[in-house]
Amino acid sequence: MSDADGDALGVLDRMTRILEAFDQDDGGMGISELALRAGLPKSTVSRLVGTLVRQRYLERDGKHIHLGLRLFELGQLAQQPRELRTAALPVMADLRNKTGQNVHLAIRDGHEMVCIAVMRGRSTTPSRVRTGGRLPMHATALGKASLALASPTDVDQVLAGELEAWTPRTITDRPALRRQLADIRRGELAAEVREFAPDVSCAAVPVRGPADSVAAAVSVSGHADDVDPGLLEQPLRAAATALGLRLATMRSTLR
Amino acid sequence: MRSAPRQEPVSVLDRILAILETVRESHGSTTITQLALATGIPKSTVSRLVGDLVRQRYLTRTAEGVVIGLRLFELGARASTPRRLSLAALPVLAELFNATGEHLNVAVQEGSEMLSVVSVRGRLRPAPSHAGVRVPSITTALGKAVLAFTHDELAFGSVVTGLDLRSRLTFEKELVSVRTEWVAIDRCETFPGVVGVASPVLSPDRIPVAAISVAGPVTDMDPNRMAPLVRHAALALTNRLALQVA
Repeated sequence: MSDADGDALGVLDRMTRILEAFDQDDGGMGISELALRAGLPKSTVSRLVGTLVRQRYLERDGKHIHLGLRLFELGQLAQQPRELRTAALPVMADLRNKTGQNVHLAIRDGHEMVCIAVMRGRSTTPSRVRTGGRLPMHATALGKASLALASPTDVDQVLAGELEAWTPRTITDRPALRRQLADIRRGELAAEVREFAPDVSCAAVPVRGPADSVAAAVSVSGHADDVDPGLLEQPLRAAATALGLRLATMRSTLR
Repeated sequence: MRSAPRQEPVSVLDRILAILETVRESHGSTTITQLALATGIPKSTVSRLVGDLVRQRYLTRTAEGVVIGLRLFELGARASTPRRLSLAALPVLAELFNATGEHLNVAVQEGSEMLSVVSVRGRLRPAPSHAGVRVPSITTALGKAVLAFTHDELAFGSVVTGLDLRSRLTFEKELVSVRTEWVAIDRCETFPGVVGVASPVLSPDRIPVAAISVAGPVTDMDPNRMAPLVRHAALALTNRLALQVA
């Protein structure tokens, strides 16, 4: 019954499937639903869940299973998000106060963006984007801001993947996306109009890290009727500069 | 049996979790050699498992070794208890911060320690704790606030296990006063120069699920003035959590 004889990647794969079965609206679920979502036999799930609950990667509340405290603790230790958040929160608060809209900070991970911090504005449109959530590059301003500064081969690779249409407005035409990226490289603001969520528009700027790398991207988003990219350009660029400086200062004090 | 290195984990899942636990405890970069030493797992196996963990983004390679990766950040942000607690706590913390301007924490019990799930920076520099950080239950106001109301004999035992009889009696006497006052105080017992005041947050069936605390400089923060504010905040959070459940 031991899984020692199974190959390591097998076990890790199964653990990942179980943990990733919990989505952002974590209402909890029973073993049967978890097995179904993970695409694994119930007996396997039941056995792995036992260990994961003991180690607090999962927690059980009656029949319901949730993601557990140990994951939260480990996640808080992830260095890159933690350093970025520390540097970014005052800058994000300032940007939120200036614009009144939702402010997001994201970093690139593979062919997607991961949201590192969210600051809610007065906007009546609640942000669908949560801390720890993943975002497509082609359909978000954050992703476009980051991708515009990537190398041509890198851009080719990202655009070679499937470009999902999140709304009827999502740009899935590759030449059109390349033109947008070229405009952003020439100095235009990265923007997205109802391309990721039907009511929401967003504008974003990249944040520079050491040696001209892209450390992150910052965005302002809100209801499409309220967001005027022209008015957002100056506060966004100021925020990106301020954050770039704070990151550089943090690094130099760490060394 | 406790010994270093720990009893060698046998199953692959146990080995994976032992590696992650060791990376967590290192609070920074860890090397394959250090991981093998700390877990008792053969170095070649550690090397292979770490490779898998890096590929699946649980760990990230750095110049010095490996650190916690982005997948754990993503999963951790979805963890149920911290999410639920911080959602309920944010308005309460905002009000408490306006009233005090001091360093605030909401923490839950984790073994013989308290784990902060959400914090607000006050004027203490450096901040003594923040979300994701553990502090000892036995000396902190957060820990004492929960211990005074806990029914969990096992957890209580693990906290007081190191105390001699006399210290244990003093400690239990202190907890009696916490139960009367609904407020626990840490007078520079955990961090030099830092005084903390905490009150328990209870579930509808009166089990302590968390504690909320205010911390400030001992020279300048009067715990007696903070006590009613913290008590009020803990009660507000208790009520908000009960509403969430309903």
